[in-house]
Amino acid sequence: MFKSLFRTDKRKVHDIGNLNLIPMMNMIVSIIPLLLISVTFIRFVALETSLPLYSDDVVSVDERNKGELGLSVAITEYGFVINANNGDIDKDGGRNIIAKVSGNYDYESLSQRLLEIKKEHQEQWSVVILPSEGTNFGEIVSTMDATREYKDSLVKEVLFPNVVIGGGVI
Amino acid sequence: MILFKRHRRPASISLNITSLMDMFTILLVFLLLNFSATSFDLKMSGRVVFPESVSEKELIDVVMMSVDKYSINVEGRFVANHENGVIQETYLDETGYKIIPLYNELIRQAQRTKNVTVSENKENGPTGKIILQMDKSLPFFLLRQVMYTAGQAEYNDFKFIAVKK
Repeated sequence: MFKSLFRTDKRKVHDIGNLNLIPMMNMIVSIIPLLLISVTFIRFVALETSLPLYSDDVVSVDERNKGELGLSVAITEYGFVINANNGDIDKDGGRNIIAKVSGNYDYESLSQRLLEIKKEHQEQWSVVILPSEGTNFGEIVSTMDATREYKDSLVKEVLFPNVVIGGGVI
Repeated sequence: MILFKRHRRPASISLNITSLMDMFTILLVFLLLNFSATSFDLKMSGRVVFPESVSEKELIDVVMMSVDKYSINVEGRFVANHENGVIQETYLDETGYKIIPLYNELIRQAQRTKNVTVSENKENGPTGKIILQMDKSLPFFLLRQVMYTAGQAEYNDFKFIAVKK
């Protein structure tokens, strides 16, 4: 009785044989060259910036800047200096100067400090970058990245996406 | 007799192509991940080392300016040369910022593509957009001269090209 219940009847297992994969192979073989032609291994991206706005009418500039923090990041040969024209961000003093670490700019600390400023000024979106004469283009682009968003393994926060490149440190 | 005896061929041969299919599937997924649907014609001079960026913004097709280690080009046309970022004084105007050949070329481009590249800027009226590919080792004073000149020719919106990090 039991034997007949649990016995697998080998005669009922049909041999399905080999699947006919040739149509699928045809498709894949034609798709792969197409994708190989259009594949891009180096992806180019764009960083947006604009020239600073200028106006001859001094009063209108003051009115326009009302409520603006006027945040700027100067790239000097010793490191970054964060400044705000219309706001007090230097409560603790000294934290807005980010010195170079072993000869390289410390983009992570800049991003972290800007995140702290962003938390206090949620409605601000603009930053002016003031490079010095000798700052090279790669450093400017990396600074723009650091001011645009804060990113680590856990969080990704938008900081100041409207980046304007100013006239430079005199 | 036995020499001329032929073996009969089997009716069908079944190849085991499972491993080949595995390989193709992996390759297909990899290629699909790297597939870029947007094509973009980048006129490169080949002498530009691009900076790296984490930006996600796609490129758009507007006037292309390229500043490589030796020269400045607009839309692939040579405009002026420079030496380590220093432009000959004969190319500059009296302010020392405006690069005259670049200005003339940008004005020419603006007239040619007037209706295409102009975007509406609510505060400042229409402004031109420009894509700038620049070598990452070039100094800021050259960038400032280039941006100032472009600003004079009413190109105020810049897009810097970088390689995705």
